[in-house]
Amino acid sequence: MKDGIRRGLSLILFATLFFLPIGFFKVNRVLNGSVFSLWELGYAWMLVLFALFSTFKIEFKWLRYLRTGFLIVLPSVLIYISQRYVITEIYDPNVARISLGPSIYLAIIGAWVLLSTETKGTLKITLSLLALLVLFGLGMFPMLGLYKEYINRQASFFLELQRHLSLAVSSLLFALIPGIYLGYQSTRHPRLREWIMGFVNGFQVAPTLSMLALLMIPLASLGQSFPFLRAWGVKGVGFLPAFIVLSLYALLPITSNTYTAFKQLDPSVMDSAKALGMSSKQVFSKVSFPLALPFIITGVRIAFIQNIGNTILAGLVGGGGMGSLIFLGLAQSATDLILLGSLPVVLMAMGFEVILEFTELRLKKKMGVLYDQA
Amino acid sequence: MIKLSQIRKLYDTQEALCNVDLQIEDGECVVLIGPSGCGKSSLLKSINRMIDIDEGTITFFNEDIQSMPVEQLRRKIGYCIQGVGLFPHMNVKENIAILLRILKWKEADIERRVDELLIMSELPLSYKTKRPHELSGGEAQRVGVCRALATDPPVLLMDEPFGALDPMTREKIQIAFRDIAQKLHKTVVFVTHDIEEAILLGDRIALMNEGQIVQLSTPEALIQDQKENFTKNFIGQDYPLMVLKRYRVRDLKLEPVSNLAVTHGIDLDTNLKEALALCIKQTEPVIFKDGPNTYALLYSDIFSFIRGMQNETAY
Amino acid sequence: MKQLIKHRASIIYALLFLVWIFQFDWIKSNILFFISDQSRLVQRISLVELAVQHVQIVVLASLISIVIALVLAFSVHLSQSKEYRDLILQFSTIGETLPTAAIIALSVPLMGYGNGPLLLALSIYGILPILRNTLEGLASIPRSINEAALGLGLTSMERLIKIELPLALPNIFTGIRIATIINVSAATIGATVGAGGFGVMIVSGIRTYEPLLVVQASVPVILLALWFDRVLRVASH
Repeated sequence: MKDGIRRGLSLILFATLFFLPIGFFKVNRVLNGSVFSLWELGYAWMLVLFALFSTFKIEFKWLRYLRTGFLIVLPSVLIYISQRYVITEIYDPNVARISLGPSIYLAIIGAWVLLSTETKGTLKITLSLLALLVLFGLGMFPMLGLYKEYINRQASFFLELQRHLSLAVSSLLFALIPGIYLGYQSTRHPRLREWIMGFVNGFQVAPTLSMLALLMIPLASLGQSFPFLRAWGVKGVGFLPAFIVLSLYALLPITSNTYTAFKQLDPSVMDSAKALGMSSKQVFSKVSFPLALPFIITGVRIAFIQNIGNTILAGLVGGGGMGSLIFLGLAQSATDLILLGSLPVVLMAMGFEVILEFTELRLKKKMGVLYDQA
Repeated sequence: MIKLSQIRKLYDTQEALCNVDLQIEDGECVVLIGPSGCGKSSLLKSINRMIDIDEGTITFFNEDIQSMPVEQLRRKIGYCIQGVGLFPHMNVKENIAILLRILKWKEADIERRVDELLIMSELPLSYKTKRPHELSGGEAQRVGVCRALATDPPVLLMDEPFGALDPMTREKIQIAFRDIAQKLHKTVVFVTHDIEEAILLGDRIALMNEGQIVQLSTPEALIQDQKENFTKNFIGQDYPLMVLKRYRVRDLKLEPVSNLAVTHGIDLDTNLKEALALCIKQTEPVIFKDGPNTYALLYSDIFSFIRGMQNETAY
Repeated sequence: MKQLIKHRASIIYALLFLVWIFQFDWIKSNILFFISDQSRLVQRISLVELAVQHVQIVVLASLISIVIALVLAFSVHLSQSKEYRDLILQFSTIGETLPTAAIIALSVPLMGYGNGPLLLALSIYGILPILRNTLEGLASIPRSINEAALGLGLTSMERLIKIELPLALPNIFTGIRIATIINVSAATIGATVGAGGFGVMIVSGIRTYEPLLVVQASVPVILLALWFDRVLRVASH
């Protein structure tokens, strides 16, 4: 009965399609919408029946392949057919729109949970997601409110996306070397470790918002006093305060994990290296650092995912990024705009998490640190 | 030749080593043995400067070990420890060859040397690409020995290397190690807490207690010449029997006989302890065959041999 | 008296906190005089009220996380099913990867503006630390103790409550401490969707370029976090 729990879960999630709303229909952007359910979509309920059957164990190889294919495209198909609620003869297709309801989200999760029971499940889930994104980008879901928001501000969307990534990545890179250095030094000087950890921890306790806000003023006055700095971008608002705050926040996971990375090194391995007559530089570059690397990457992963989330707040201080879209959406009470801003962040966070965890695992295998020594 | 003079080592206020003098000749194997905390490991590690001593001098082939860069010293000394310490991120070949690469040997020479070492340790050449976690305890330790021998250092320091192995593997690897060390004329300093291992491997045994060398003798001399009560207690009352394991029937130099029927299936390579046990078990003499020759073995042959060894090497 | 000295850190933090929120005007004039005070707005809500809101939110979110995490942890432990355990851990890890700010924003369409989205996001985020630490705590109990309990004839449930739970308590408290401290700082973000708490003043300060407001609200947040840290550390003993 392996995977039994997951199958059961998927069954329930698919079943919600029958009784939870599939979507919300709005005549235009401003007016409130009405709820619609599966039964108003013609023969769509047959699709759901297939989905329910797919949760059972299948013996035949070819039927299983069919099922995998079905599950991969199911999310896209569900969204596609929900668009049919908009009867274009009655409503203006350029203005009327639908938003996805809870049951579609749950069903998508259900499809992915079911895919996770298969071999190379993560790959298949990624395929399913990619299918969604590609079809979205190709304009196959024009009735989706989310798509309409996207189309209306496509340029600014990609601009903010790029800003978001560059902020998250650059602040991470900036904190990388100091973080690793501090983490390494903590292993060699235990007294120093107290100070370093205290310093780095201190930032975690202070709210991100406060840090951003408190940096605004000194940076603003610096920018005003020294015009050449201003030309360089030293202003109270914008890229710089967010960059500084994000770098400081990234320090903790990197430093802390680097410390652990070097602490967990096997003393007999280190002794052998020394005894062979390798100089300390050689021991570090050929033995200590390679063996510590996978765990350092753990810190980098945590820091990066944290950064991607925290960059949202940059939107509050004019730093750009997806946060700008989110806060705009919040101000206008425009659900789809909020979605447009938040979903990419969520996808990026999960995506990088998967990629970086995979890298970590590969590295751990390569460095042989996954196994117990003979 | 390694000479240790008046070695003194303190940990906080505890004396780990106290006025230790020891001279190790080329090609001999000196075993440091004693109870936990007697300082044997510390003494060993002071030779390749893994531990720094507080007083005294150590000379390595007539040079003070403090006078040369420590890496240079260590590259002339092979070091094997109980945990082996193979690099988990490298395969067997890379582990053995690591120093050779640093010394910028040619690839072909490295390949040849690694093969040489593996053959000598009776490991299959196919192990070159294996990773440490794929090896058994005994195999890992053999690779460790290969790595230590890679640059052909004249001296080997061994710190309880076989302690974590099961008894059968341990016996095999002890004998294999002794043969390799003798064949290559290596000077070996070996630390153990197992008296039988000391007897098997040591040309001389240095019995240590509380930071000092209590007695330094050949295994045979220790049968009679036990200077302190400590020695008597440590090596135990059946020590003489243990010494028998060091030799084989071959060492008795028996003359072949003829016209006698074989009574048992031992051979010239059986160790003397087993042979003696056989003499007890059967009525004498024990007639056995090795190759084309037949031999007859008596109790008395074994006793006179051991007496002879004691007299020869008495200190 | 000895008790007081032992807990001096938490008492100091608590005192500083209370003095700050009740006597801020005094502090403003005498200590923070160097920060220019150009508050054009009259603060509609007092610092004390914000403090109360903030603490309420943090405590409530933590309680929700604790309940959910403990229920999940116990069910995983009692079921002894690796499959169930992996599933729950996977979901919780997702909960931690999702950015808090994004969850808050995404819950607004569901729950409207106000404290709801904040509570939801904080509760979700807090589940993993508590869950993970509880499971670790339960797993670290030596087998011999479990065997002895079985030998005595205790049922799984009794064993869990009487023996395993008390032994795993330090770990559980560590998890709670981590979750709570994160909640204290993260709760400030809620102000962007209309939640209460110190975040309101901080966001105000950002929007009006008023550093004084920011400092006014940030210091008590830090003090509160430090206080929870101390108190929960002590409680785990």
